[in-house]
Amino acid sequence: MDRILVIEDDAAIRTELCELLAANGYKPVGELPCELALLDVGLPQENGYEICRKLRQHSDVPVIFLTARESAEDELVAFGVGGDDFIRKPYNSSVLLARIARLLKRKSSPVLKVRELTLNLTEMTVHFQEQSAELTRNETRILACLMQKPLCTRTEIIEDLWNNSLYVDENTLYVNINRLRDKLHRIGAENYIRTVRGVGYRL
Amino acid sequence: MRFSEYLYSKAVTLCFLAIGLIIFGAFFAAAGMDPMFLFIMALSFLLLCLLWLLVSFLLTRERFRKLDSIADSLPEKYLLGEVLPKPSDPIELAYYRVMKLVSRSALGQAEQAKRDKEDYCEYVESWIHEMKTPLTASSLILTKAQEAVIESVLLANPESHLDAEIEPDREAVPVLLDSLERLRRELKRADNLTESILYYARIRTPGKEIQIGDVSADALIQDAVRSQMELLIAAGIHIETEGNFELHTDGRTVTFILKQLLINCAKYCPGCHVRIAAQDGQITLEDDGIGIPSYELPRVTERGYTGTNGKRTGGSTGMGLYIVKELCTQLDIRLEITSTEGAYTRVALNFL
Repeated sequence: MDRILVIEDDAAIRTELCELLAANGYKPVGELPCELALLDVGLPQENGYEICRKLRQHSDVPVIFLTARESAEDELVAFGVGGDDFIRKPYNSSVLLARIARLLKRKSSPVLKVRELTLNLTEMTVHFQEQSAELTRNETRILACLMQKPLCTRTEIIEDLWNNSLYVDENTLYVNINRLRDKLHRIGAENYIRTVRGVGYRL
Repeated sequence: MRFSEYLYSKAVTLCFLAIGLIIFGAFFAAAGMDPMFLFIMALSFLLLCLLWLLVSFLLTRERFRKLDSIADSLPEKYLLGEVLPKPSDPIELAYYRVMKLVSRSALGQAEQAKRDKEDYCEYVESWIHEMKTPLTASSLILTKAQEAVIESVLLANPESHLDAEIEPDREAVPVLLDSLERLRRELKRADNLTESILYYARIRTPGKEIQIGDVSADALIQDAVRSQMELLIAAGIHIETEGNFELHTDGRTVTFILKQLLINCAKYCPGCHVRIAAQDGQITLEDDGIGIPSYELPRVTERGYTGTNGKRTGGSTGMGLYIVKELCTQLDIRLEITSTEGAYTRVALNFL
């Protein structure tokens, strides 16, 4: 389990951030060692940039700065002290999680597996037992989304698609889900995508 | 100043000189002076007067020219009193002193106003940053609530349950999820409003915070679209992007401009199709929504102007496009808005 260092002075944000990370399979920690660091820039004593500079002296873990400040200067300083990413408050949690995943992904494989279903993200193909099918970009993202979480709301899936520059609306999602079901049906994966009425979808 | 005007200003003096000439002429004539001598004397007197008029006119005109050039070269006219040449004439000297008083008092007022404005802008900026903390906390709390609701659905419908369609255990679940999403949209609106006041404060202190760099148009467009996805998805806006070019500008500000245009789309034409194209040094954003009436088109970027669309939809401040226009002027971007009522609105940002 990846440990994530959380440095944030606002108690409410710190608590919620730690819970969000814990709920998404990370282990929030208050001190080193860690696999990734989330640093707030505006801290009462020592600012986030200082902490990053110190951290960089003996570690090369990815660092994401979280800041309420708006200026472009801050961004330059952030990258100057060795930050890997820079996210402005208030951030959308799905965006934050996506960026964390992207920085940690360096090690993980592009293949997702749930029960007997295997999805290859780079080749955009899905395998079930001996059979396989090719997917479109939209379908790949939707299936990846469903395979990563036990239950996805429609908005979550749409936002995940938008985060990947695929701007679909709810009707298109509906059509895509049905096509995906057809393709899975053809390779023998029956009833893999189930509708949770009024909520969303789950595998 | 013309010579006739100058002559008019010296009318009193000239009258007395003429009276003097007549009286002394009469005296000398009565004393039996030679008329020839009298004539020469009068003539030389007149010539002397004329010469005096001419010289003093030229000198005065020169002083006027100097005054004009000082006034023209000074950007802050209220400082004029500080740089005027000191006159010798007692009346002019009195005026000169008054002018100095006026200038000093104006200077004091201007400095005070500038300081007040800076203090105000500084506070607004720090207030906005403070504001982000509760907004961030709220958005994280909402995520947690949403996950808790989903968790409850999962607990009520364990893995073994393999129907094609699952009914959530309670009717409240969809309502709850919908409310949470609506709350998240409201938070996004609050965030957008704080951002627009930040940029409003910035257009009042130009030059500050502008960071010119090399950016790609496509990256700015994607950024803007993604940042507004909550509102755009809820409004059922269909986004299509195409093209790209490299540009040299302040990326953050351009992203803000694009966000404002997208917010307008979500606000005024839900369900419409928005095409954002970047090519030939121009970013165009076109929707197929309600459009803007032609008689209102020239006024939409005016400060505080809300047209019929704004009044119908409500909640329009008339500041969005004003700030956009001001920022465009600051960054040398030509802003063109074209529209046909009931058909389309097209906003072009020209970077050349």
